Amino acid sequence: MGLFRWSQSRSLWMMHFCTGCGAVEMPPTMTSRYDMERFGIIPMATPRQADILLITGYLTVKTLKRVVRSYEQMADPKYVIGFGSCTINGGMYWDSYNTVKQLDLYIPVDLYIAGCMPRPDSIIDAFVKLREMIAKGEANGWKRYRENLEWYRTNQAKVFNVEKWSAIEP
Amino acid sequence: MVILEFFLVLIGITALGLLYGGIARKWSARIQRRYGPPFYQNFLDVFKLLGKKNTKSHGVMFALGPVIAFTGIILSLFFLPLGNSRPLLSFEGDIFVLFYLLVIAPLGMALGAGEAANPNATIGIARGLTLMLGYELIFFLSAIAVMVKFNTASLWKIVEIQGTFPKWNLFPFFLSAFAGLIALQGMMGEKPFDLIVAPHEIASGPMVEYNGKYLGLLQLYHAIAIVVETGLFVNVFLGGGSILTFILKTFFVFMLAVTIDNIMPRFRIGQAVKFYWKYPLIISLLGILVVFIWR
Amino acid sequence: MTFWVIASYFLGGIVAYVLARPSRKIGAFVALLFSIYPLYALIPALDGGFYLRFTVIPYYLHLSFRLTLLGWFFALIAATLYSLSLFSAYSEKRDSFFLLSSMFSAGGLMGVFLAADYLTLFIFFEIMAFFSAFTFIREHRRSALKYIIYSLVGSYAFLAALLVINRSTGSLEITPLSGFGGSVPAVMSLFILAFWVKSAVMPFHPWAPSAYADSPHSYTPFFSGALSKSGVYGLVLAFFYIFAGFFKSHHAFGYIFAWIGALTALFAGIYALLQDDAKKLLAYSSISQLGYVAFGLGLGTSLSITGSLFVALGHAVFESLLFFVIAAVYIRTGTTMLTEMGGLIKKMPISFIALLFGIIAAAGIPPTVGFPGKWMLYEAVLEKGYPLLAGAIFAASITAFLYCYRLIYSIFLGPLKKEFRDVREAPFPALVPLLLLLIPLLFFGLFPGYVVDVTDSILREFGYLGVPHTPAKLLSGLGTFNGLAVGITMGAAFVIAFLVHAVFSRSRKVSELNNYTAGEVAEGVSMHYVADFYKFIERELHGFLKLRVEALFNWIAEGIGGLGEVLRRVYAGDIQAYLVYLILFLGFLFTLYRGVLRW
Repeated sequence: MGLFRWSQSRSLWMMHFCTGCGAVEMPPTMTSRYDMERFGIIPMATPRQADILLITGYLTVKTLKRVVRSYEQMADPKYVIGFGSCTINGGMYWDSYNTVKQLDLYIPVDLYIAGCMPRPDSIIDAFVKLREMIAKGEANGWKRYRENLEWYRTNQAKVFNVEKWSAIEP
Repeated sequence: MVILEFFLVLIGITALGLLYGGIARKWSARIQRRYGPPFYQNFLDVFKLLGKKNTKSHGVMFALGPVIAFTGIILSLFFLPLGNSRPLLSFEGDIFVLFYLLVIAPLGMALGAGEAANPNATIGIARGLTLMLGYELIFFLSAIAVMVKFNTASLWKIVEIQGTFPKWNLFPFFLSAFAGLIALQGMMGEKPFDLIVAPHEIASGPMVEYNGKYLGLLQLYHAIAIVVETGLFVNVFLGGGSILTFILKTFFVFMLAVTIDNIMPRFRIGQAVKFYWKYPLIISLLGILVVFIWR
Repeated sequence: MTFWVIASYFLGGIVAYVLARPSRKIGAFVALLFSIYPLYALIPALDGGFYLRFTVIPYYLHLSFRLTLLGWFFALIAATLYSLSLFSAYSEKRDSFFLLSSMFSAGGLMGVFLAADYLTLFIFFEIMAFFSAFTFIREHRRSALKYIIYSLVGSYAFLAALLVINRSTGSLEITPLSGFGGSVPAVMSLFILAFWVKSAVMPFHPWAPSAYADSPHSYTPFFSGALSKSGVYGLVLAFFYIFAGFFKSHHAFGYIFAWIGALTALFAGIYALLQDDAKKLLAYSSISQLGYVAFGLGLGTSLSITGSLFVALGHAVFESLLFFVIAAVYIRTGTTMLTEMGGLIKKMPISFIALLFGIIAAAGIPPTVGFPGKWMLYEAVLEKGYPLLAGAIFAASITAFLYCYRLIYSIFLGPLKKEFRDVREAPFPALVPLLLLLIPLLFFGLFPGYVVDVTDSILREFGYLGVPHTPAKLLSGLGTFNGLAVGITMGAAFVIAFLVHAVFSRSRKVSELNNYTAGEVAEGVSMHYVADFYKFIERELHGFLKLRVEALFNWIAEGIGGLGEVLRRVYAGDIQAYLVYLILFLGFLFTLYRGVLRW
């Protein structure tokens, strides 16, 4: 068990859900300047293979649906990092009618990176933090999501303006 | 005792393949002026994947796909002589048997990925099978030059006839070896022939739906496949020797492939097939011609 | 006994025809009984040397039969496949006329394998060709006529050859040709044309895809697996028995024939992967496999002949298995188009397993029946030192992987089509042949030596050496293949892999819509990547694909059509004109008769 948790903390495959302007910070983080692969973090193509879901920036209501679906397609244990102010409180879109203001109402966020934009340094910092959290067993968002699924579903349904909602229809 | 040896070989080669993968990642990172992951990174990846919970399966064939792929590659590993010292099962089947055994693994993966109903997977498979028309033929033609010259189809005998360093097949059969090397690049799916996986186009192709332990199994399969595919080339062209030299040679062949991988863009599938049917085909045919003149 | 082996089919055909009128069940059962008898009679009759001659018209027409080992080998394949095809035909609710014509064609085929003289061979060859066409002439007139015409061209060439042989040697018995006056290559070409056409080796293949695709689905396995073997039988007989002296001394002929076979295997393989109809795909695959057979026969070493016979057996097993699966799928879905199916694995698991093993064998992966034959062919061609030929057949075998995957993916994998949500597994009788054919498919792959035992005896009759072997292991001068070792290692490796899979946490099954589609749910959109599956290859090869031998034959056909138009004017439909023709003809005969007698 210890071996698995240790390797989980050392090998994190990331799917970056690039909706907002935050995506532009990812290339320098991946490439030679900051090189996140030295922490065993590499970008993956599909949520099936990913451990981290990185939400870079604001989410519209329409996008949130896709995010929730992608999140539910990931295998446990899985972690969510909210990137930028938009995921925390809406950021500069705080009064927009169609953006999601607070991400952790809809999916469990393990870690936020504040800033608009956060620099690659702070992204790397977040990854290192996440590693420590996983090693200590503190990054339990996926457990929270399973335990409080009803609550999350209700919140999601509310923002989607529907009665009842499940991630994968029929 | 024999069974124990087979287990040791299996575990050893799997570890070796994972190690190769890790070193290759480090090496790629260095070429790209990055620091790169630790050399044991691939072990961590596999442990992590195998330990994942709540993996999703699309059905029986989906689950059996990676199992068949792993089966196929273990089978081909046992029919491959590891240098001059370990014949394993290569007395029971020759190079033609090995060629066909090598197909089981991709076919198993293709069957599994097919059940996932994801078009990305199927496009990747269709590409992979099409590419097979290219590289398998080239590799076969370059290997058959050696087989015709030595008048044997047994891989073990080919290794034994060659002997050690200056008598490597690489030197007399340099044209065939060159074509074989190009074919090997496609066989291992390295750039410019990485269009099967192509994460940026088709979301990692056949692997698109695989997660958790299935992906872990596929990683293990891939690790062994590295050794088996380079080992096939080493046995045919780079002579015999102890198991240690075999490991060293496969390592260098793999590193060469990785280096080429790092400095190449990606072909479209049409271009890749056309490429294989043009220059490597001509080179391998010239290689055969050389054998006939030489005889 | 040999007589009853053949007569059982004809008698059974008539009885089944009569009984199937009131009750389809009884008719099919009777047909099955009559078709099982030959199987029962053939299995112990390994000794051979049996000879039977009986007179149909005194002094003019004798039929004579003989059970040779080669004939026994093929007859056993044919009898087995025919009995199996009846199960499938029962599920398909075929009528009495189908039973009659298919029984007669099977009887004709038996006659071909057991004939002891050329005339008997010819007569039964014709019976076989016509009655096999009758099974589908009502629904698909055009392709049936095409098939008959191609057959007839071959048959007339054969008739001409046997008349020439008869005139020169004075005998019709099938023996090695000796003391022949005329040109051996010419008569041999005429002789093998019939079998060439029947085995659908290029360039005489164009009848096969349409005939295989249009024949009744339950009959096609027998059509492709067994009827085409009459061609192989004739070729073996011609090359290694009748014209053996010529064939052995003229290597160029064999070499050219080997190239024809290899190119047939390659080109048919390429055409196969571009077909959208499952039966057309399998038809081209069948042509491709018979290309291997022709290739091995052309090489003419004992290893290659053994390989050819093994491929012929393997083809009979897996190709008919694949066709049976298509028949079973057709019963439930009503289509054979690859583009219209998909995801049937969840509905028809047994058919899926059968098809899976079928394609593994068709792709030639050990340890199945598809591999040892191909292995022997590779060894043989390497022994001869023809690397280019080896490359051609290896390329052909790669195309086999391609079309095999397309077949299984399009039918059974991928998303399930909406209209097939309620499909059930095929009815039990249609599954019987699938399950029974799996036994030889695996057994002869694990123990190829048992087949080589038989082929060795056949080769010794022809004066060749056998292939050294033990039950599980084949040896050539160049390498070895141990089917059992591959099988056992594969089993062990599977157990290891499965344990690695089973140790870790269980997975959860998700619906096919729960798919990575960038967050979208693809409801109502077909996610089946199936049309233009190998578009890339088509694009690269478009210049080559335009070259079709059918175009040449169509051109000839148009020319003959024009000639027919001219001839039609002679047949004016006027009774008086016919009377004049008759009188003129009688007058001509009279002068001829008088003239000859006077002389």
